[in-house]
Amino acid sequence: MIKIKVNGEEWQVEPETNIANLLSRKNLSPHICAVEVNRQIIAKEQYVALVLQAGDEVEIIRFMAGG
Amino acid sequence: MVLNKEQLERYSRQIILPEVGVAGQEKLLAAKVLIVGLGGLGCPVVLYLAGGGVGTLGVVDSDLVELSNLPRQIIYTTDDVGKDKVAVVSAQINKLNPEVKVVPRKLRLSSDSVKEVLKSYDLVVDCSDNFPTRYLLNDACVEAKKTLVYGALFQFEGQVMVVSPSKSACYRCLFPAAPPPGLVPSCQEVGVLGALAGVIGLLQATETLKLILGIGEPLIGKLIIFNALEMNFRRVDVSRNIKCPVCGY
Repeated sequence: MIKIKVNGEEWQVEPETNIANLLSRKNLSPHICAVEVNRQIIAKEQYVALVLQAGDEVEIIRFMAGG
Repeated sequence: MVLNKEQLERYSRQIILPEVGVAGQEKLLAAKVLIVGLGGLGCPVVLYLAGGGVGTLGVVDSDLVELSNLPRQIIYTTDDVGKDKVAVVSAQINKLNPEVKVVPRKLRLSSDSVKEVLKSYDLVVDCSDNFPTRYLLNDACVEAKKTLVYGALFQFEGQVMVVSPSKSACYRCLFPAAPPPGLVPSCQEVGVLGALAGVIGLLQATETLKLILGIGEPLIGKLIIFNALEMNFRRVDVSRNIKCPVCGY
């Protein structure tokens, strides 16, 4: 297992975990959020290819339109 | 501009702040701010900007007041149900602070109207309640190089960010395209806690006042995420996206 941070909280994930895996673990569709890894916005096309490394800081930001 | 005796009294609690002073109050009185959307966010934004003496407030909304608006859209009273939001807001602002010039625009922003609506303002506050308006506003602000104060709500959570075009991330840097229709439900569909709108709206109002005054550190390139259930704020750095369809470089 490796340690990463998701929305400021420490998480343990399997090595080779990608962003798509992380989102499904949180029960989130990739269509309803933006994802940053180490402060860079990740394009949705990269969600499978981008494998998380120990120490990565992930921010999952929800889409919202209410006002 | 020289402040008269009544203005010195009215704004005394702001003027006494070293960061504001008479010079700051004059900046506020000279400022022109456009508020798009007069719902849960727009109501507190308009009230506090008017109270604080922001001289010109453009207000845009095409809706009529509905009963279900009242728990969070705090300008309106039960008697206002069925009236034009822009008309009620203009009348209330006039009572709160008669020296504020309110410019009511009863319309829904479209790609045809957005440029003209934005034109005479220094700063824009996004208090809208739908994705098409948010993208329209972001893209037009980036093009016209106008600072945009974004705010949004979802159930118990809210977001605020300041977009300083070509200097910091824009809304599209963060969210390049709207989600497929139906995937992100609206407040009408899944609800929102009324007081949350006040929290987020007042963060937007505070950022707007800071930007006009040129004080402190506005949320330029930074997104605040407030969670009312956990009662915490998360601050996320948002970098410009070189592939951004509107401000990429």
